[in-house]
Amino acid sequence: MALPWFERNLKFGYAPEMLPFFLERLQGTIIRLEQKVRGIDEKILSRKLEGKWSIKENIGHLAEVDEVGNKRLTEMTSGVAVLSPAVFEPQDFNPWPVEKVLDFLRKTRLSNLKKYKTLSEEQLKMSSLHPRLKVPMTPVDLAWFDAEHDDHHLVKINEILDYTLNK
Amino acid sequence: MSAQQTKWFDRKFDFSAEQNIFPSIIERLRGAPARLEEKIQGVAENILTAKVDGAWSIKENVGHLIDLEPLWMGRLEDILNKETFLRTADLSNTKTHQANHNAISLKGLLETFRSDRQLTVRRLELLTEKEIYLSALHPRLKTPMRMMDHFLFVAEHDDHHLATITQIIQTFH
Repeated sequence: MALPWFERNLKFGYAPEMLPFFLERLQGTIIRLEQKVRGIDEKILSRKLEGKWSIKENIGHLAEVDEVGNKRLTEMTSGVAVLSPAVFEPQDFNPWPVEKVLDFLRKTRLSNLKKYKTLSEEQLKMSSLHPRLKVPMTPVDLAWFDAEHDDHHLVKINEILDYTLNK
Repeated sequence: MSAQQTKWFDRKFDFSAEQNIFPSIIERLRGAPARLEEKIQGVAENILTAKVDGAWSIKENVGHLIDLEPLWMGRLEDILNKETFLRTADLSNTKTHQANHNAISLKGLLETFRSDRQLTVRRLELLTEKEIYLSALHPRLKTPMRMMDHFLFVAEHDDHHLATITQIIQTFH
């Protein structure tokens, strides 16, 4: 069972030399998701078990978090003191075909990966305060944070699939 | 991007996490074959076997991941058997140097890695929460390594080789 995300103890302070590994993880999320949902009925992918997020909602959430991440990257490298909070416009992903939800994530993810790759070593060391955790966060920390967050939601998706397909 | 990736033997690991993040670690390990397949399927054979600056080729990097899977599983057994030290790794990677992975088809390498990793993941899914926190000393790092730390180390090792393969591919573009 996945530990609730907001209960995770997260340590930052990663060196710029760690970024290639974190980008590798962020890039790999899409194919991992594709393999997980391939051949699964759209109804199962839209189903909310016990009122919790469906698989499509988990994937759509990752794209929304990417949009926040993109904004935060700009804030960090512009010297903003405190990062914007993670606020999302309510959006219902369940009527969307899963391929459209995945496309949304592909678009946001590729945009973020491209942005990370343009940052100089100096920019990779710039930090702003994370609004919830109240600790300084650099672009390298953000890449790690989002990679961990991806894994959290991949676990949630796996749990839904396990429950639905093996019950 | 200006930062170069850290070398594997220069990596520092923080094994202080108390929370059970093992489900996320299993998920990372499960995802490695898909990431690898996506990255290198369709890459030309001359690139797959090229040894840039004398370093391992892409196929040798994949083969190395296959070569190490028995070590990871052996260390799992060392921890469960309450050994003081985890078994040592061959730091000169003799197995990979002698295997001639360049002569094996890419399909064969990827299938072997997928199948070996699937067995590892299935074994990990059977571990109890108590077993996840059992530990033994790492022979090179001389620090206690819990089951959870050990497999975090494996996931990081996967990422290291995936990033290395990306670098190789980039040198040809």
